[in-house]
Amino acid sequence: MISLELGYFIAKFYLAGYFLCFILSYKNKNRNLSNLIITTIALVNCIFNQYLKEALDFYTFYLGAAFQVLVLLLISLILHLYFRIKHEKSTILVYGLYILIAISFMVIHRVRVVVFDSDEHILWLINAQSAFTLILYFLSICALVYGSKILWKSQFGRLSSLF
Amino acid sequence: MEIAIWAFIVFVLVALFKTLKYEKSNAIYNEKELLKRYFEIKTINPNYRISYLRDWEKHAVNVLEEEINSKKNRVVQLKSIDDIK
Repeated sequence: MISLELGYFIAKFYLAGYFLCFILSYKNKNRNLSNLIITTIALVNCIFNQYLKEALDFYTFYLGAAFQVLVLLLISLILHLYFRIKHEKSTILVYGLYILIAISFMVIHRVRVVVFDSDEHILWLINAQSAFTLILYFLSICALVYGSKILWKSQFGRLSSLF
Repeated sequence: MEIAIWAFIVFVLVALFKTLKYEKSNAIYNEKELLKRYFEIKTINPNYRISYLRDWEKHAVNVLEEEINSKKNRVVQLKSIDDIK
């Protein structure tokens, strides 16, 4: 079981992780523009999410979440086509993870609203799904760090002089 | 509402596959590789570009001549008017 406070703490941690990914992919010399686009949109989405969460009610909560993830993908696709940037493998991996997240949101909406019409009986399922999505978000952050094409020696090589 | 979002998932997937296919087939996204290939060929045959242009020029001239001929054939030739001229 995941308590709400722990979930929010992890979400904040992930927000910081996305911000770190943004900085890594922006400051890198041979920067991966495809990675930069998806990281920026994900970061904006994280911040916008907090306002949208209050606007949604019981019946549209998970639908809104799935819709948000899909809109994220669509905007990044349009931007890639508009600026003529080729998709990297890491970006496609992140897309796959996000589509999995959207499908899991849709499944939980089905079970929660149509089958049971309450949260009480399926708390375990909701918790399992949130753990699933948190793991996938963590994997997406790992993919973004990998996609920033950072060379650890050139970026943090000076740290070795400290020790 | 739910069906709409399922449809949206399918739409996004199709759009993703279409864009990936477009990127694979379009030459704009392979500029660097094409340039590398061009320089490779140039090291083998320095006159590659010029000979290619000459061939293209010949081809263009041929196409234009054929067009003119085909246009001439289409016109109904009135010999009486030609004689007056």
